[in-house]
Amino acid sequence: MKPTPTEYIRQTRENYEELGFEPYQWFHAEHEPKLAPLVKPLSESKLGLISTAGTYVHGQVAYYYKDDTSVRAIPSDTPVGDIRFSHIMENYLVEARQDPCTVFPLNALKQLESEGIVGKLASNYFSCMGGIYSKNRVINELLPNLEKAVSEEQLDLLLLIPL
Amino acid sequence: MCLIARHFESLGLPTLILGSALDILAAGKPPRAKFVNYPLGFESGRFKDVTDQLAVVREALTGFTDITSPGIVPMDFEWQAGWDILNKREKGQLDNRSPRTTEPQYQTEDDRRAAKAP
Repeated sequence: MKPTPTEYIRQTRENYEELGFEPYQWFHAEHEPKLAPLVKPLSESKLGLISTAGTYVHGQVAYYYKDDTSVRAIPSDTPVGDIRFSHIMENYLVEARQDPCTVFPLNALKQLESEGIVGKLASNYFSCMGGIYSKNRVINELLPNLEKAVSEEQLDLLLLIPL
Repeated sequence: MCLIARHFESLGLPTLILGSALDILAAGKPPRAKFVNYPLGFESGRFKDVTDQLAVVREALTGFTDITSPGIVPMDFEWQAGWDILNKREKGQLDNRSPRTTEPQYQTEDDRRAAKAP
């Protein structure tokens, strides 16, 4: 039987309290989102990727854990063995640090491009740090940083994979 | 991640979230999302399972065309490795998190040396 989905908000709130961390405020949307129309099918589209797992490449400066709003460009042809992670939720990255494709699907995306399922992959994927306490810093710093980075790729579609 | 998705959709760029935390996704009302009921850290497939990773990402990407109104669509993948790992992580037994500081947290010491090299 399939388990019911995990209650991460409740569990993490309880866990943070035990660890002595400040309570984390998850984003709760008040309004329904806009849905941008697809201009082209996936098979003709240029696809990008953003990871919030604190993904970086060997040789880059790692993320820090206190509200880091910086962004890293991860070349999509990066060898999987050069992918690293620095994220406050290290406890969920034990396996990903041995097999990055569990959260950062470099190989699967390449395969789907080679099959023609995806038209073209971005030259650079992007990463940032999830778990930023300040919603204002997400809006005023992280989102502009991501927007500037992504705009240089001229994407048709954007895949987002949180940790 | 929902804030990021909503931001890019408002700019006209279609997005799709592939996530494993249904309650966090639901709270953020994402434009398009596919939910895979795997523990966090396996959003794009099982550990060292190339076949599963490809299947998860392949199925997720169908959401770009199949999701025509905002929402979260569950995918039909089943985690078979047991959920004890999740309990241990959530209860702190495998929790080795570093403190929240402004010092970069490298995965390895070799990474630290490589990043500081001229």
